[in-house]
Amino acid sequence: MAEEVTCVKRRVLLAIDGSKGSQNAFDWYVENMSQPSDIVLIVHLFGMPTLPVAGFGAAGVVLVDGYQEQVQTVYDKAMALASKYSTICSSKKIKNRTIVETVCGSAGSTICQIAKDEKANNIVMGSRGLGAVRRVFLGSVSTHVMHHAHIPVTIVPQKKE
Amino acid sequence: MDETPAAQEVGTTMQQSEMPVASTLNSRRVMLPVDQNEGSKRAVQWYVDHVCQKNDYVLLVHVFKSSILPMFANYDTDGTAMGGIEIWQSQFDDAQEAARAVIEEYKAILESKKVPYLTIARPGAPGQEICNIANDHNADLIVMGSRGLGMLSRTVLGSVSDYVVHNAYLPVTVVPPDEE
Repeated sequence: MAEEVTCVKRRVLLAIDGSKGSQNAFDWYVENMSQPSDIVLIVHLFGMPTLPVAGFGAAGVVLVDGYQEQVQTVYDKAMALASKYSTICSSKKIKNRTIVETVCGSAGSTICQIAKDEKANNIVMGSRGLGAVRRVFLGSVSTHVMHHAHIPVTIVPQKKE
Repeated sequence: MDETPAAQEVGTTMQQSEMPVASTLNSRRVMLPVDQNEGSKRAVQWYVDHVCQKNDYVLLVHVFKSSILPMFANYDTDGTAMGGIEIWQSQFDDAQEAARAVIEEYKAILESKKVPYLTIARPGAPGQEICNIANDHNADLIVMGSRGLGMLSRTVLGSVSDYVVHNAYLPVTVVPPDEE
């Protein structure tokens, strides 16, 4: 952690999706940017699994039981991921909070909304996430957040391979 | 400790100050590319208020447009060029002077927080030069404004910051304009 210089209390939103890119961004923040007075908002968005339907048309049956389990699994996984980062922060004495939410539609706009609601000072995220094609330098979520967040956004690029 | 270090690199000449060659533990080389617009001032102020740490070393960079030599070449009747080079030289000098003036305002902000810095003013394409300088000087982080050249109010992310985010292989913080 760097030595304290700034007196401004920072609320840093760290967007996590389980990809190497976001892990990289997180590590970078911890090593290069974090200060004792920071409060980190660990944000993880997950998509709800699609509702499985058996049969067609009016005779279609929604498989509710299996779906409940699926939702639970996805939710547990999301919480576990967020806790993992929370634990790392706590071990380095960085104050933190986890925010785990479902995303409907745009992950980018959800992140921007959370940043607004939580009054974050800035956002730190990777340049690519789980879904992005390798050739793309800046993934869709990062691009969206960069363009629409009204606070500074730090994009941490992938490590050169 | 040297309180007001100021080494200047203009064009290709560079005066060496005691500059760490690469980042040492807990020290960062932060590059602040600036132009004369509000966005840069906001970015530098934000850096100083929110990001600045002990052992930071700032690279204050300004890339200015300079016409390719010689833009005006007057030719004599027998084909010999006359006056071209001098006009270009004086234009280049004016551009350099303007560049230095731009940098002056930012130096004051950095000096108020006693941040050591190196100023670099160079002609060229802003996006590319910023990335080149970041590589040459082993920058660890770039902090810049989002809109500068062009200043179209409908463009959310300016062309230079867009280029830098896509092409610099180091973390870039883009500081947006305040919400209107």
